[in-house]
Amino acid sequence: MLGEVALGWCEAGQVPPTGIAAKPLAGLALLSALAATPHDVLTLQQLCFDQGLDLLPLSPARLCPAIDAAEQGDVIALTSQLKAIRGMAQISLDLQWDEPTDLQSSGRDWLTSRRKRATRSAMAATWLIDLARTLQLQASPVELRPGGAVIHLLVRRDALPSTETLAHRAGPLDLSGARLTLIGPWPPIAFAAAFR
Amino acid sequence: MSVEMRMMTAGEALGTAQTRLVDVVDSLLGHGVVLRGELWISVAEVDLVFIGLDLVLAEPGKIMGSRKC
Repeated sequence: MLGEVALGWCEAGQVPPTGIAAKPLAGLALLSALAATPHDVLTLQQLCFDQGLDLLPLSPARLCPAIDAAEQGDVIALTSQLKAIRGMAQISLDLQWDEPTDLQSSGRDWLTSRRKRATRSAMAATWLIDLARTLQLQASPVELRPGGAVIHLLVRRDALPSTETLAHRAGPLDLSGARLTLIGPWPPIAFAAAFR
Repeated sequence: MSVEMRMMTAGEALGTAQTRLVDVVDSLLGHGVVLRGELWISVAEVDLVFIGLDLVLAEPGKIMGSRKC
């Protein structure tokens, strides 16, 4: 159902894209728009980000708590978070191996494939954590996925790393056959947890 | 080491139908936390039994939708 949802906070005076309202609150601006699904909210947040706004994103369905937080005096924390993400972006790194699509011929084969999958997830997690450490970037907790892992990194918007840079920094682990997908830049969604 | 590299814009990820990338987008939406546990029982380095458990923990409001002011 279509309803007004909060998209996030930005500093007062920034001009939002058409169709997005900016409600002045406590010296900041709360952006909101009509949206039906969480996916719509993410798309609108991305639109704000693409237009150059420094957006402190809120998770979907958070219009009331956002207003409450500002009215109850969380402005200092909010301002501090906004300052921390000014000029920053998030990139997501998905390192994975393709899952075998063929059916295993025996239970033992199936167990072997499951073990391989778990080993690969652990390897991917190790590699991604090491990469974030090497690049000295703030990182989200790594998320294990079947046959791989995902991590979100906070990077400067004007200095996004390329896949070549990432490959160059790759550690000694054998990642033959793996695929690294760099997705982004996004607004720093994974780094605005206090207001999610 | 040989890793296939590719880049994808946020817009492309938002419009994709690839399950894997939909998962990435979904995790950004903060629907909840997935706890995944795996247990093997092996004898003499031969895997005999596998037990897997996936739990999705989420705030009801995030699953049920927004409340009205």
